[in-house]
Amino acid sequence: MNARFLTAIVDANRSSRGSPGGRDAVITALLLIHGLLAAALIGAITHQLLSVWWPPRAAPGSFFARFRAVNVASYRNAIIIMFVIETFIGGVLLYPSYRVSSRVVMEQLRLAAPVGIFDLKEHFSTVALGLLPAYWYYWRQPLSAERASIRKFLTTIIAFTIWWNFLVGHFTNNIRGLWS
Amino acid sequence: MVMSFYRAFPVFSTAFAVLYLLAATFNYALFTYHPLLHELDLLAQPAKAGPAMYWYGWITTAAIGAFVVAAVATFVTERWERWIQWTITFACTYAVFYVIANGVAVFIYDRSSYELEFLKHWATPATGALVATVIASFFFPVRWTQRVWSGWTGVIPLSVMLVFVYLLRGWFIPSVGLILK
Repeated sequence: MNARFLTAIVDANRSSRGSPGGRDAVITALLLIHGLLAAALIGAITHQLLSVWWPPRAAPGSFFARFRAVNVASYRNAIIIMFVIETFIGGVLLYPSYRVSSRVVMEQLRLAAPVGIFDLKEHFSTVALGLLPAYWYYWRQPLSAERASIRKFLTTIIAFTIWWNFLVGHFTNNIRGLWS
Repeated sequence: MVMSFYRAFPVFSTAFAVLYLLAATFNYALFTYHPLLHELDLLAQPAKAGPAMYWYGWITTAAIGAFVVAAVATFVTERWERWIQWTITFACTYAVFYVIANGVAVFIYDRSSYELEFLKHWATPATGALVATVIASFFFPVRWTQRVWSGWTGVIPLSVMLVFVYLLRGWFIPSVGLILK
């Protein structure tokens, strides 16, 4: 029942866009870039998260020890740049398309929880975007030992947000097939 | 000086989170975007054709406000540090007491056999929380109010995220109810 209704999401997407060819291709390409960047961002922030919570003590031997033993402070700028680009692609280029088509249909189908978790994605992303200046400040070299706790705290919040965005984004993108 | 130029960065992040929460809750959008019409209107405007998007306006409002707060913070002198820390501690304690007082008021109202309308008024938990916070402030440990705590940079944005979960609970509660059934 749900799957039959959910095909309406795609139909609404198609009907809301003027020319089906070009614009669809751009949205699909942007979604792919968004997904690829998200995977890179997840890799970088997870390296950093594990290294702050579980710092390597001896010469790394195992895969996980080597995963944590990278120089995570050098990831700071890459994470910030990728996060800003991700927010720009998702928030500025893709979000209006979601807002005028998919979300309207999901609301009509009373898919309240997916709409709610996507709204949380929007708010969590914004709060994390605003945290980036503080994150940049506390990860400045040389790293101060007395600020290790706040560094760990901010990294955890940003990592949680990135993982949340990744999972919710994929869930929403694939929702049509989830109950088919 | 308490705040150097670089110390404005954590201040911006903390203020941004609070201002974004206020902007989103009370719809203080600097502009409204109408995605179907590709139109921008100044301030929060109702939907025209299709939905109206306020998110960009909320972010802009919060960013401008946070920039002003961060700029002011760079000029704050050392003698104000204790008062800033005391004010933040007071405000956070007030927020916690307000949540508790509001919960207690709703609990009593729901179970009361009389119509206690005053419990539903916003001023009741607000006043109760204020009184409780003023009393609690006499017992703030000295080390809580001496220097500005860097942990606020994490605690305040995290609290804002939790408030958003609470504000959006209406989207989830029916689904949770269905799952529990």
